[in-house]
Amino acid sequence: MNNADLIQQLVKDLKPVRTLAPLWQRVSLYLLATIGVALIEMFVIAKIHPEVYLAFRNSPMFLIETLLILGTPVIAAVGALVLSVPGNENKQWLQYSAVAVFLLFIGMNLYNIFDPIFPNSIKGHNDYCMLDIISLGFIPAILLFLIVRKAAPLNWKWLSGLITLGAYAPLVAVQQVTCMASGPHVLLAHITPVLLMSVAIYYLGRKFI
Amino acid sequence: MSETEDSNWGQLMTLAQQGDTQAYNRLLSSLVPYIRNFCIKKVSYLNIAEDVVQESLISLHKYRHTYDGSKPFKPWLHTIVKCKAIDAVRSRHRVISNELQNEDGLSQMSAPEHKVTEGMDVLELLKKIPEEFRTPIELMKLQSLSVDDVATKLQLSPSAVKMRVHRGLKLLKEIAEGNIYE
Repeated sequence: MNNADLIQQLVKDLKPVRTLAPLWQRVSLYLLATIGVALIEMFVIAKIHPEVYLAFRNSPMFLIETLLILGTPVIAAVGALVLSVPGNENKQWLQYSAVAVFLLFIGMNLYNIFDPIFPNSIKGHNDYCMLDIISLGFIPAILLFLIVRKAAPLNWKWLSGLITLGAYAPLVAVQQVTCMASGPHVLLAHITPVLLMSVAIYYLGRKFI
Repeated sequence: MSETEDSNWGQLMTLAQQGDTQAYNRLLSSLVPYIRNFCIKKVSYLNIAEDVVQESLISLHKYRHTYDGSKPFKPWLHTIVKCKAIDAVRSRHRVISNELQNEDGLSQMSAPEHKVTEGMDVLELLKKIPEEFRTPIELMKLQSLSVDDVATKLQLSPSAVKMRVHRGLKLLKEIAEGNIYE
């Protein structure tokens, strides 16, 4: 088929389209769903473990870790929603920032392994951390995937990573404040599911995009 | 490329989003030489530039709802064309690498069941089957286009594309095995 024929075909197929919703609307939708899911997770943990307590520790390191894991999903989700619209290549710093903030969080937990304050155990306060994160993260992941798919998911490698962080990092943040855990547990039961899901979302998403 | 041209294209795209076919026709026709030049600058393979032009037009059509009329048109277009050019280059490298691997693999094959494919090149084999089967196979298997994209490009239904690819591959296999002498 030559270019002229293709243009004729495309013109013939032309229908009026509704332009993409503004960024703030898409971000609000994501935030509403994610906060809802995070609250469900807290509720589930409180039901299974009535003795659950907020694992706030009087440590600046813990506060920094918590801020990092709270910031990761927001930057990642905004990045996914911005970068799925063509023409925003000058905002690629969002994708690098999201990954950098998450890597910093991982780094701090690696450091915790060698911190004598914490019991160096794989077992956490909540035995179902991994299951909670994987199962509940599906809801914001699917929502974020649908919002991104509605735009133009041209660079799927990066977008799938950002969707994973946007959907699963909020649940890691909930675990951060409800699971009194040490570095090895956080790495194995909180962070590993996010890394596994990034691979799963990349391959699964490619089929449905 | 002047700013006026950019804002013209932006206006035409805004009209196209509302269903104005004349504006859309003007826009696509005026974009073809621009995309082609852009591709030739970015991609060193001249022979795939034309494929990138068509791929870009199809993607532009698919993602036209993502264009925001208040923003410049060029950066929006460039993102789409760049992605399609990268896909085309990767796909080309994959084909070349597969061909090289096939050559290595063929030289090591000595079992009688492998004899039928010795010295055969997939691209050479493809030339031996009718065009109605060859084109969908080339687009889907060599250029990694989706069934829907191939269907749009060839003006066929997706099921017809799948059927032609299936029958074409069967035909290729029979030619490779020597069951059909063309």
